[in-house]
Amino acid sequence: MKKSGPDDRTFSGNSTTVSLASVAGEYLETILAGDRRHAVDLVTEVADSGIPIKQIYTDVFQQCQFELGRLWEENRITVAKEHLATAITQLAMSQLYNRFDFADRVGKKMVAACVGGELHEIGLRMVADFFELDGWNTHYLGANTPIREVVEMAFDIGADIVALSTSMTFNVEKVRDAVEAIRTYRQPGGGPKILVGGRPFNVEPTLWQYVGADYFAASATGAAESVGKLSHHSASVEGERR
Amino acid sequence: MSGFPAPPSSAAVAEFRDRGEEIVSKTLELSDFYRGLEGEDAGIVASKMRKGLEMTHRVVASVAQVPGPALLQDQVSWATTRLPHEGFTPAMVAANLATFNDAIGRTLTAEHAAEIEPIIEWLIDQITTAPSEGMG
Ligand code: B12
Repeated sequence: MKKSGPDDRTFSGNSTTVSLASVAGEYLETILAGDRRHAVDLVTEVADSGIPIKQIYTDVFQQCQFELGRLWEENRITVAKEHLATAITQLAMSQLYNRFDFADRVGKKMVAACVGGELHEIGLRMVADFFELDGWNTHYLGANTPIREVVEMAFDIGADIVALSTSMTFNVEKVRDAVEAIRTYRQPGGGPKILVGGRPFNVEPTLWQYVGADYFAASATGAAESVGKLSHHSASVEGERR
Repeated sequence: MSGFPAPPSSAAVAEFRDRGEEIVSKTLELSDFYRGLEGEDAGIVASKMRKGLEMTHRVVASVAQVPGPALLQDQVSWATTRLPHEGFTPAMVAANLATFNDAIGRTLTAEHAAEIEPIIEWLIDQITTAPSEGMG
């Protein structure tokens, strides 16, 4: 990742070609050094300059999380460093929440969860935040949620979408179990649609069909687009993929 | 063996999935991997091996019926890049997988074992031919 110099930090939300690569470089160094205050200042400053939150999520947080994974896999950073950096990113994401520029409410609800023993929750949280920004009411349950609890909440609140995420290939069977549990509950023509995503779904683009989901998206941006139509029409867009 | 095996039947995967604990325990029992080690070291290696075998079992149970090698290839990449830093060279991983396959043969019905074993053989083949660093 490119290292930033003092002049690289000029950005403007009015420009559609703005590059956050230098911000991401500086942010990565900051979180690896464990400087929470600077990390939060850096991204809030970018947000205040008018850069959309979704772009900061994708071009800074997501890029840096991927880079952390690569560095850890190659043993160039310790597990402790990865935990430290990830915890700072979760803090930074929370700090941006009160800067969200929400769309008007669209009257749609989502339940979002990682099922089984799945601990990777940041990708799903991004998906939930993107929908929230688009005017949805999202019930984000995070990591390691029992399938039964997800299903019960989805039907209790009358969710339009259940979003399920896994990063670990070994949890694909849990996603499949969860999809089956939701399908067992739902009446023909009613009940929530199922959206899936996460690393294995990107590695094998037909996996969403194998687990029996209604939709798949490879990223938070794709997810919001793919299901976005639901906000305006009630017609089914079953089986659609972005 | 280099061709990616045909997906096993649902009955074979179900038996494999249900009998995971037995297969993992049997693999550790058959393995001579940590026998030369003493005390704490043997304990650490055995517990890392158990974790790795449990993960392998769940990966295979999760995606055995997904056509195409991409997901298992991704696991091979990860194993050959990361596991050497955890003390397991590709040769060690391949040896453990061979013992795992032996345990599958001794645990599942012969008919179901014959459907799962080619997947593990494919993994062994990939691990022994993959470059050991810089993938994924
Ligand atoms: C942080 C991290 C952890 C943290 C997670 C903390 C947390 N609170 O989330 C902890 C320490 C717990 C962890 C543990 C493990 N991890 Co980890 N982890 C990571 C890391 C570095 C970043 C994850 C992340 O935040 N990504 C950023 C997000 C934004 O990306 P994303 O998840 O892909 O999400 C995007 C899309 O996939 C999609 N998406 C995701 N979910 C959904 C859902 C829906 C509905 C939709 C539509 C879209 C969608 O949209 C998202 C936004 O665009 C990754 C590296 C990586 N490449 O991701 C490794 C990584 C995933 N981990 C890995 C491993 C091996 C493990 C462990 C097994 C390590 C161990 N030996 O214990 C454990 C397993 C834990 C478990 N049972 O789940 C490997 C997996 C390798 C593989 N090929 O399978 C990776 C890839 C690292 C590596 N390169 O080796 N990990």
